Amino acid sequence: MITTMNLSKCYNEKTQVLDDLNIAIKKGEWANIMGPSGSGKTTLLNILSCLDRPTDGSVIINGTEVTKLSQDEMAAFRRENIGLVFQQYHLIPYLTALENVMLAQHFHSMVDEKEAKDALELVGLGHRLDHIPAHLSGGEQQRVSIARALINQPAIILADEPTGNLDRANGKIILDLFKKLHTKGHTIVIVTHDPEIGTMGDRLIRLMDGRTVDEKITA
Amino acid sequence: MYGRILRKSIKVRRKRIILAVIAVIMGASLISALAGVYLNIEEKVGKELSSYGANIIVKPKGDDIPLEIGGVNYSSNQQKNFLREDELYKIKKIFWKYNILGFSPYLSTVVKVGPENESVVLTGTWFDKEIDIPDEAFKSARVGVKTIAPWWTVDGEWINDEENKPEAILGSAVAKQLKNKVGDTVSINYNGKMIELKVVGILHTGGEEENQIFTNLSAVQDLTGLQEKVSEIKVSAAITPEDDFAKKDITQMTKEEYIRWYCTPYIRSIALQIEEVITDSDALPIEQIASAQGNFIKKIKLMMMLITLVAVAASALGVMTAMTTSILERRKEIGVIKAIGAQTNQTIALFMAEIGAIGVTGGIIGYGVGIGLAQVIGNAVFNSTVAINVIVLPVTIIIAIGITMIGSMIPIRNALKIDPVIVLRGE
Ligand SMILES: Nc1ncnc2c1ncn2[C@@H]1O[C@H](COP(=O)(O)OP(=O)(O)OP(=O)(O)O)[C@@H](O)[C@H]1O
Ligand SMILES: [Mg+2]
Repeated sequence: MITTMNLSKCYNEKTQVLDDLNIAIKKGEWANIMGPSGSGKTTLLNILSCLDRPTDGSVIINGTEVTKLSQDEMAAFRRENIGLVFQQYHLIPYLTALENVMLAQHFHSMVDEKEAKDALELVGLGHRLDHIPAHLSGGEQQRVSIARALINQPAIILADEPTGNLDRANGKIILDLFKKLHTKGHTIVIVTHDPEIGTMGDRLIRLMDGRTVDEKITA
Repeated sequence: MYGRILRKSIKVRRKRIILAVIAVIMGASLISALAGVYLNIEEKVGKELSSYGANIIVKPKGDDIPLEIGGVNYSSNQQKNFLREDELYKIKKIFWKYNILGFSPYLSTVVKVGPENESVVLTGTWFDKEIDIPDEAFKSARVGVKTIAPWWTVDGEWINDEENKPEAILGSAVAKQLKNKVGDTVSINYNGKMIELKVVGILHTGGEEENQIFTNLSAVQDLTGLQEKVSEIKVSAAITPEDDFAKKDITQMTKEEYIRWYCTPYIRSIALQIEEVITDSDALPIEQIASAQGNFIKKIKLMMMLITLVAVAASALGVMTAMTTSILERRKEIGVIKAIGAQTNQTIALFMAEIGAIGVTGGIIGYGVGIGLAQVIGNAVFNSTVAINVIVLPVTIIIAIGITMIGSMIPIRNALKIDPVIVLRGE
């Protein structure tokens, strides 16, 4: 499903963040990425998300060599295949929960209010449709962002520390959602600092100075 | 969806948007005002400039090149040919009658005045007279020196054309020379024939007329025995600036060209039409005034275009400032929109909706303000209202949208350069 070949990323001559990375994640797999701060986890995830480009090497997702795509093609590929969840939720502050989800539909194809409502029901926010992000708790905002990530039925969900800003109880709700998605067959990649999450997926990739230092099958 | 985003994003950024709209209003109102004035300017400036003097002088045909001293024809005592007073009204019956803003007849002669028998020119004319124009919708017309030389000022009284009293207005230089003032009587000696005129006013013109004595046309006709005669007529006509076609030799024109020429208010075609109605006359355009009028209109138009250009630029700059700040504030939002899959054209469309809203709002309000502004300009500059032209509304809106687009170009380019990876990086 996701394959990287000799992936390298340098921001300048001195900082090589990713160094000749070869990763393969299978369809329907849940992979966690862990590593110390600054080890290049976010950088890697951004490249897998088609938000950023590597300095060297290639990424093949679902049979498409995404590193060869143009900016607009990358955007189109992303909204078709990838759902993104961020640590800071990144919702549009002046739009309601429902509208935030519908916005993703809008850029993808057409808005379907019923479908957007269903997605919010699924994350347990059926009663918060018309709240703006400022009137939602952190956990609720993250659930809206998951609903947004799911709305266009992407095969892959990429999340960068999705529970990083949440307490245990809310973190658990989010993780339960990911479990649900996993059983539904989505390919999931989560960057996390939380060792508990680390044990949850099918496998754990440990990064250190831009290289995989350890990889183990947890399930 | 665009509608919803637009409404909400405008609502949260009300101040920025209002600022942008105000910038557009300023440009659009100036443009609509100037456009309104521009469409009226030929008529307005034509009228205005014509009030700076007559631009056509009508003389008897075959009149010799006169010996002129102090603006008066000293050979006029030997003048054999005259124009007929009873034909004057016909000047207001020509094809371009509505462009005849005024005219005045003159009959001048040299007389001896005062105890020292000074030689002075005595001119009979009309001052401010309403004459009947038969078979015309407007029935009558106001004529006389006041209609062609509105800047003349008189200390004391003007002469009333209707009363026909033995009165005189002294040019200020003559008054000084004769040491006469309002209320005095001057004795006029014309070849031994004496009349007494009461001084009712002292005339200031800034020109050669200050060396003359003015009285009723009929008084000079009686004195000289030239009943019903006038020696020249000065006409003030609203004209259109001369172009190359205007200068073409009419004897070389085709019939169609001649009709077009005749039906255009060029100074020469109006002059020709006057010659046609005044028996044995030569109507001569006063070149300097005519071409000055044409050039002045051209220059004013050019100046207005420059002002418009500056207004557009200033307005676009205002929009740019507002939009740049706005986009800076929305960096993160734009990053999110891109991250969830917006392509370049979709991002642009988002801004275009906003540009359209700002442009149309600014354009419509600007048009309204512009109408008011045009009236203010009309009143202040031309002393009259400016006709409202509906064509200006769509033009203003289009220009307003154009201004917004020009002003937004650089900010949008910057927005498109926003890299979601950088703006979404946690802080
Ligand atoms: N735009 C950039 N320019 C230069 N250096 C950068 C840039 N973005 C990231 N880096 C550097 O790359 C390295 C890896 O950053 P990255 O965000 O991928 O780390 P991370 O593993 O996600 O860390 P954390 O656990 O703190 O989120 C860091 O040293 C960071 O300073
Ligand atoms: Mg990170």
